[in-house]
Amino acid sequence: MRREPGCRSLTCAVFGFVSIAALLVQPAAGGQRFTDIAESSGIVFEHRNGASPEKFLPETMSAGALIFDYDNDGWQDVLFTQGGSFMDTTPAANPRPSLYRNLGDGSFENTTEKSGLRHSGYGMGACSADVDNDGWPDIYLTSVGENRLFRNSGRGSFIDVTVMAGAGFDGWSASCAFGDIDNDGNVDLYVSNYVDFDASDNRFCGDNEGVRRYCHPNAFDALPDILYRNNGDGTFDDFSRDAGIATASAYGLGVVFTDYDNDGWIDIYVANDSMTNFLFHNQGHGIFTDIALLAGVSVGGDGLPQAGMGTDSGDIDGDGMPDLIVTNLDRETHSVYRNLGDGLFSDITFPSGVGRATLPFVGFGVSFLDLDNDGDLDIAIANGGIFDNADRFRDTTTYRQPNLILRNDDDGKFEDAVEEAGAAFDIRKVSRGLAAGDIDNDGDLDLVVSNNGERADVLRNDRGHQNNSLVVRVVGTTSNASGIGTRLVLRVGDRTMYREIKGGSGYLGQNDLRAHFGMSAFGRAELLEIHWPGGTTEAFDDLPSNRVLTFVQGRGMTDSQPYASGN
Amino acid sequence: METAGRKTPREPLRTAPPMILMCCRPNASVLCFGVIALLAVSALPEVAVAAIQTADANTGAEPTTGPATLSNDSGALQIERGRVLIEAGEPLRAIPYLQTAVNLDGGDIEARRLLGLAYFRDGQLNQAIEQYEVAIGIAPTDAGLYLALAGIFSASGLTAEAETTLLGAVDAVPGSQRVHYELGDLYTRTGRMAHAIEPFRTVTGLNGEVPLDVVYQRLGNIHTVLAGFDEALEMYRRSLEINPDSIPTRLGLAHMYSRSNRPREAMAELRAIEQRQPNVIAVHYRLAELLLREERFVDAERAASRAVELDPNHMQSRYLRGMALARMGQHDEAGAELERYRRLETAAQARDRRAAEVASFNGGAVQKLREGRTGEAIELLRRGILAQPAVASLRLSLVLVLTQTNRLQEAAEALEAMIDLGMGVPDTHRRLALLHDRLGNPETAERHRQAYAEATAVAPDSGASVQ
Repeated sequence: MRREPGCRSLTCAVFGFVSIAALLVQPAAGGQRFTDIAESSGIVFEHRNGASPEKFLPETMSAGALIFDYDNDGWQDVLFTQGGSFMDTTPAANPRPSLYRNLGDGSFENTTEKSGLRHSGYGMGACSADVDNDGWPDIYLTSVGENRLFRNSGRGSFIDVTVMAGAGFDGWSASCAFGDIDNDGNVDLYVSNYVDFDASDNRFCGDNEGVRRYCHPNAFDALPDILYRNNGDGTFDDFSRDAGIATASAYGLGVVFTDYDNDGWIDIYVANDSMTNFLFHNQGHGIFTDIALLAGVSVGGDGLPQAGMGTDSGDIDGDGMPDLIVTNLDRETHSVYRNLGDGLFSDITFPSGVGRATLPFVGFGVSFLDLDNDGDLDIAIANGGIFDNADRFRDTTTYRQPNLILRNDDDGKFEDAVEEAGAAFDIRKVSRGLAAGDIDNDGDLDLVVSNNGERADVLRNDRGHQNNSLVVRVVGTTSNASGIGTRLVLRVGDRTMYREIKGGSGYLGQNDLRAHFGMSAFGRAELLEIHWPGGTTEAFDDLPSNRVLTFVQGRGMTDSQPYASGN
Repeated sequence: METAGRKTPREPLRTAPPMILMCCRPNASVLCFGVIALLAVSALPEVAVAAIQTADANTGAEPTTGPATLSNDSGALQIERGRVLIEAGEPLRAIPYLQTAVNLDGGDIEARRLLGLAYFRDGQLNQAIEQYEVAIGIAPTDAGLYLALAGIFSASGLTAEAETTLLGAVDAVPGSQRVHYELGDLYTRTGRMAHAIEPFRTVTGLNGEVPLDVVYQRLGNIHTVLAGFDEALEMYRRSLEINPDSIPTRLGLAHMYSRSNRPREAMAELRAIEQRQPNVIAVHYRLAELLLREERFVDAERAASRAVELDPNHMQSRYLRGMALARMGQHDEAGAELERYRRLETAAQARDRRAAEVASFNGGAVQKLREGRTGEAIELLRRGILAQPAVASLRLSLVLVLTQTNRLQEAAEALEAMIDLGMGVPDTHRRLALLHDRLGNPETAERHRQAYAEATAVAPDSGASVQ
């Protein structure tokens, strides 16, 4: 249930008229309509999974997507991770992520070749942050093989600095995320590791007729995750043991940094496949304790571990506390945990309506996001089965599945809004990564979906901008330059919205680093508070809607751009 | 330890039965090594025997064109001897008598049925299958024969063969409730629940002795999994019309209500069961889950405690109790309870991990054998044994592959290692006796034969003991 924020008398008096005005102006009618603009915009990316009779497990797990602005031109670019092959030497020798530069006119240019980006192994995920605080977003690529850190040269290319940085774990990593665990102004890096996999020693899973299927992860040993501490000099230390996150091995997939208790120290939530999830509470200075079990976010509401795939955090009920979502296997439901604010969470999967809506689906990418700009966070989910021969082994699900949009009804419930989403959501694919961002700078959030073994989708949101909104970019100076971990509080009318800047979330990917606030019919925001990592807070009042605002730590608002016209 | 001279029943393998059984079916389209049955869990042989017994019991109820008549007095005597020995747990000794009966009258269905059963219980899968297939050829509308054969295939992990057999039964005996039911059951057990709907629905339209409340309940469960809640509700209602006291149906109904976000109705069903049967763990566990969701923490804790009282190892109830205590502010007690949960959960993970690894080694070996890569199969099994040294099934798989490839000395050494580890005694002695006979070591063979006899406390019987 939504908790109304406290209303200070002066604020109420000054801005009370805004609320009244809001009552007079109805939000835009109609739901979402998404249009797949992948081909028309020049994003023609096809993921190669290298599917083989050997059923190498990575073949069904790969396909990540990342939205970021690598050339700092104000337009969000898109990167897709590529899989590869364990059998065919041609794709195996040359797996490259595909980078598409947003030209700002509705089209994208494939800049993969000059980017210098390359997987070292079978590609999995990606995340991005300005690791050296030089103003240019860098990239970390995970693989079944060696992970790679690429420094952005600022000239449209990236330089492989893995060896110098010391961040090249060799194994099977899945998702990654950046966050400043010790508030020293340098983003640190969490890498979730899945299973101890060796293609030359592949496991057989299948029936006694010799029909193979992709293995359950428990056919393999689990791997501990890795937390790299950024030393600020271009190098990273493996800080996992000292940080307390190396105590348990698990089948790690999704990861998100979130300050769940708002204590100023960023915490880490990890979705583990078929094992208990982790909630690493930052006790300060990057020392963590896993408190997931006691907090109630470790397993499903029935007490059983679930097949955690992707995860995200976001304040779905406007109480200022980040809530959590985890995508799981079909029959399990995806899980939603409401943050109660006292270190405990309540599993609201079924009361929220998410349980019933997600019961038939295998979920991967997931994002809390405001798709209709009404001020509350909806949910987008990328679904896709595990078995390409599901009919033989698990016929209650399918390999290709529809993706989901669940609209927040502002009363603690989520409703299936796929019917309103348009033809782009009618299609069924084997979706994995889902990244959200305003790629056309029109004030609403678009979706990029990476599909295993198939063409990627770029789903332009054509209706969200019928409501007002604000897009806020933050640039740290004493805090990390990407502003990751910054908590933003926007007051609009009687609503207070909370957003965190997240350097990685969902499954194998990352969203637009800019914070997006739907404002419904409100024309102005009364107040924006920026809580920078490290403790400083800045506040700005009376901000106009429908603009992309840039705030630099200590220097205030440095840029204000109107939205681009268009869809 | 077994004590010489003391009569003890034949001890089932503690860890798992033989995982690879050479299945050299004479009419099979694959090579001898090509078809290998895997018994993935130790419970499966019991399942198979139960399936066969069920099929046997059903024989009288099913239409039969070739009734089990005894060909003559001598044959009847042989059959009776065989039956007694099987019932006494001596299938190996029963085989010669039953074989004699079959030799006397090759068309005697009862003799072949019992001979197949004896072979199966003795682990001679190919011979068992052959007997049932011949019997089916003689009596093609005897549903019990199909069910018994399907039971053997199913218990051996040959689910496609089991499915083919049951589909054949559906064609040959379409009016048999049992064959449709077993087909639906096979589909559900192999993860194909949607496939199971049609055979289960067919069962409901036929006369027979399959309890329809169970069939409707299972249909309800399937529709719940498929999120077809209206259909599930209809099936559960029909089940309760037949048997209002069915606990599984009410549990299924409660679960369906819970999944469709109707907690009050779910609670009502659970309370209804509780009134009838106060000691059903699942009821208290599900009540705790619902009460926790409804934020009735004291009641949730009470329900979870009751479930834990009934089963201290009920992991999920411990979790729910921990959650309820945490929400009540009793963090220390919650932490202690959740720690107990963690230990149980960790143990369960380890069990699953071990089972998956064993299945993977066995499955991998099967795959390699199918591809004719016998050496690699043996190597893989050896690696499996290194990884899971306490799992007898991997060792027996290795023995069987080594024996079939005539690497008898290595097979004997693998069995000796099992004896050293106390695995599979006394049957391992029997296998060693056979192997040493083939190796030309009569003294060693005799020593193992005696060990087997002492362990089973049954005097060797000429022609029917260890051969």
